[in-house]
Amino acid sequence: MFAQTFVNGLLLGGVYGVATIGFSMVWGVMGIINLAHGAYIMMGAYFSYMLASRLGIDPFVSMPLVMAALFCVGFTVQHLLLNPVMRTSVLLTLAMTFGLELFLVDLFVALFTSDIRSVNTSYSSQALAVGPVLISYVRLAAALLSLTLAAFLYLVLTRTRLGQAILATALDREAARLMGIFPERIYNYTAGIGAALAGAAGSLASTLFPISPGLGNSFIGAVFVITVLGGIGSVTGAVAAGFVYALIQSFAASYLGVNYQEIVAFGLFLAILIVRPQGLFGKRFFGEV
Amino acid sequence: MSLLRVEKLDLRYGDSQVLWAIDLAVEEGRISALVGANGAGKTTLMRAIAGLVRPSAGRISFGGEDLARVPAETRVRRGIALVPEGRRLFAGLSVRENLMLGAHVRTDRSAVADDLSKIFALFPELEKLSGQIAGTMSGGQQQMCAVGRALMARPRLLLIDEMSLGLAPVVVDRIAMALKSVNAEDGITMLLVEQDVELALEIASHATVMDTGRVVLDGPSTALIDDPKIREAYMGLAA
Ligand SMILES: Nc1ncnc2c1ncn2[C@@H]1O[C@H](COP(=O)(O)OP(=O)(O)OP(=O)(O)O)[C@@H](O)[C@H]1O
Ligand SMILES: [Mg+2]
Repeated sequence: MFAQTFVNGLLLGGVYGVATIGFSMVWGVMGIINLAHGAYIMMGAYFSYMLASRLGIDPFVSMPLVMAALFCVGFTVQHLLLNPVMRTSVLLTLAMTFGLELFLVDLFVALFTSDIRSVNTSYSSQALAVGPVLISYVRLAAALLSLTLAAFLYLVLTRTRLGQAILATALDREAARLMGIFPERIYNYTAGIGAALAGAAGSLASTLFPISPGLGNSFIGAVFVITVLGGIGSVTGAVAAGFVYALIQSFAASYLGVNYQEIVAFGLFLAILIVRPQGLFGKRFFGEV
Repeated sequence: MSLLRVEKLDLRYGDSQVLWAIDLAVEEGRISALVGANGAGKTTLMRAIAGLVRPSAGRISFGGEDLARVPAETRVRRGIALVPEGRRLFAGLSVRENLMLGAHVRTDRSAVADDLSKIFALFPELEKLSGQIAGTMSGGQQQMCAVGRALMARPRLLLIDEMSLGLAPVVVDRIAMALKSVNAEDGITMLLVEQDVELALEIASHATVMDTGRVVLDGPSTALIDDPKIREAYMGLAA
């Protein structure tokens, strides 16, 4: 049971990581706590579901498409709604994204009803047996894809011109302007990337969990905890904290019962915040020297 | 012809006016200095030239073109680079990343690589420290990195706000030498804010003196260095 619980947590950790990276990055770069991030995850799951049920495209295959769609959503929302609000007050973005979350969830209730849906693939119930431990193929694929996405984003940030511009803007917006970087354009791309990653998480979630308009809500709490644990804006931190969170949740669920999984995870979160307010790894973004 | 021309510039922060009818001309190819007591408005003027703050009246032109509608981000592309007060390096990024961000607007990759080697030749410690996180370096190294970052834009006009503040004299000498050589070899025009007036008049061929938001003196360094008012007020020497 111990080994199985450990493996379950580990496999889920990657998905939590991907669900978090975009949220954490948006927070770290722009100071925006995007409360609509959960809704983006939910939208990603529905897009995958639609593509699977209508066109028969496997969610793992349609993921780039879903990410591209969500990129456009995030980019446009930032450009049309958030940038203008940020010019007056960053705090107002909180109200804005809260409203957006409610709007999107209600929109999806109207479009799809609250019925629970699911994506079934031929390999959904298959698993690899390693001794007494069963490793579900879907979960394994989701975990590996998550790590790949995180590594890819890390490379984009550290190796590309856009990535460097994002980091520069995050660290010192005015100095970035002196380098010829337009901060609002960078914000559009950052929000787009954040939403694309939420879309990817939704895509992966569609293969693992039942889909409903409330799907995002079940993620946003975890996403919040993992962001703070991993250090706001830190990609590697989010991945590591994603695993920590999933393991805690997994052990709490199997040893104390499912009702306790969130209580334990959030309790630990509060405890860690009191002891280490800078997050588990003590590194907020790239700014800390 | 003047590369940079500031005419009758007023600037206010909210209700308080901090620049009053500033006139300033920087001739192409020269090093000019801007000196004055604390709070005189030197930083504000540099920020206005770079496009970070908006004047309330007056005109700034660069290479004959009015900059009123040109945002800061575009002014770099036109050839104005600022080393801001306090350096403002991207503290969490490496020296090399900082330098390359200086060249963000450029697309001529091989020329950028050449310029990077030039900066490394100018300040060899930057090459040794190229992987180091910029925020962990000494003040002098950071200033070299900040100057290098601005030069990576290959500007026509380099603005430096407080070149020597808080730095050891040897380091100041080295940076001053480097600026002179860049000016002589690449013909980059410079405007330096410097609180050490003696140093300013030594490096620059021309200087402008500001006091509480106004230009009070302006002329060739050789003339200013003998000016009794300057000697008394800024160099602590008897007239
Ligand atoms: N953002 C701001 N808002 C309001 N007032 C400001 C602001 N920045 C500067 N000031 C005021 O404008 C005046 C000029 O300041 P500025 O920084 O330009 O002077 P300075 O000559 O660069 O001084 P120093 O030698 O101390 O750097 C000062 O009175 C300062 O208090
Ligand atoms: Mg100043």
